[in-house]
Amino acid sequence: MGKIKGCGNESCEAHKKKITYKESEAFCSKCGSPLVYVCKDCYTQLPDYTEKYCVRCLAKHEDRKNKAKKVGGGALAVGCVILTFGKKALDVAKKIKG
Amino acid sequence: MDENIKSKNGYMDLASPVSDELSPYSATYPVELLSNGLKLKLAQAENIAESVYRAVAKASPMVAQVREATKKGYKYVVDATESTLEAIESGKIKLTTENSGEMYAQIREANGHYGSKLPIKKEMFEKGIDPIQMANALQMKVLQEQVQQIADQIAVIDHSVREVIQGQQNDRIGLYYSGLTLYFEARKINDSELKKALIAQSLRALSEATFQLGLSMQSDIKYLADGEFKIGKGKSVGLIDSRMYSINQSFAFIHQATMLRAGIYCNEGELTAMSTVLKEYSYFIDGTVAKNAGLLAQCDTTDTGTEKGVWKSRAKLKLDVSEFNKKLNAPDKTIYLGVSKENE
Repeated sequence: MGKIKGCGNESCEAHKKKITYKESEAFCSKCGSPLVYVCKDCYTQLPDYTEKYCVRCLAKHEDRKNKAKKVGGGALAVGCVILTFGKKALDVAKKIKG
Repeated sequence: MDENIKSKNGYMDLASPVSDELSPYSATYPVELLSNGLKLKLAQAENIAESVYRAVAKASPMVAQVREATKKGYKYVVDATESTLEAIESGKIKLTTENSGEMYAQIREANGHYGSKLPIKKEMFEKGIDPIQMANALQMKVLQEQVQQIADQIAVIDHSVREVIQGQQNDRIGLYYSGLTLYFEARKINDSELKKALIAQSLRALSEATFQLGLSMQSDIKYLADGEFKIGKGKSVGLIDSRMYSINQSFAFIHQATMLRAGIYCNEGELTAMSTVLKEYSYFIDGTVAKNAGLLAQCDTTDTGTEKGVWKSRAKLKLDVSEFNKKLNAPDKTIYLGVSKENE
């Protein structure tokens, strides 16, 4: 799903400029070489049965997700703390007013 | 092969001259040592082939050689004319055997004394050609093209390896440097026994270095293949990069140690051992690198994954030393130098 292709010919302009093609396309529009699966991020040539990212880029994405989860979790905790203290502050304010 | 790489590894062109000064501290030392050894063997083969050709062509008809060559691997017959054979029978020419077992022909002079040795005999024995050495040298000559192909393939890998080696210092590569230093010292020693002992120690250290690094490399590849880096949540890329650094380092020093071992054997005249080392290296590449080239290319930031990429070009190394080994180990490599009648 969502795999992309690129030109495997190192001397081709499409390869140098890292031009990507749809999975349905078979040949390079610049040099006519057969297209190969490439990593969506770094353009490294991939075997046919692989995913859309190379091992390293996939790991990079996973790392980002994990970091985002950590940051998200942290933000949620901070939010909860603020909410609790805010509620308490509001109660105190109401008492003073009343 | 990429012309650019070939030009940068000019010393691996066996037609180029032998390098005079080799520095053991240079990253190119192992492969230059091997290259120089091969060049010297080819030059030796050229000289021997020429002297054999001159000697044989002077005294032997081509037909006799061709006929014998089809029956036995190598057979050179030093032919004598009808008049020479008659002279031997009548006693005008005497075949004498010295204590060393070498045979000479001498002509009886008018006063009945035997005169000087026949020129053909002088030429063959005074040059001290050892038939086995001669056979090896001639086979080396036959295999020249194959040896150049092997050298070309090695040059491709050597180019990428040297970039990794620069500035690498740690305990994992200590054995390699131990082997290198011992060999360098051995070359400067005059005492033949001590020299042999040091060379043996050097070869052992290099062999141990090769196998230790080989196992370490296999373990690192397995780590990547099994996806063990995923355990370090948020740090996977760092773990992949550190394993790739280790793999690149191991491969670089396995290559250097292998080339140095092959070079030492070649310079010591042990061509069969040299081809065995290259064969082992070829098996290692096939079993460890070629099988995992795709994975390694994906994990290596310097690789593009194409056929010319770092790992796929390394995986292509298939040093076909089978023919080389077969010819060097052929039992029928005796060169017969004898006397026969042309019509036999």
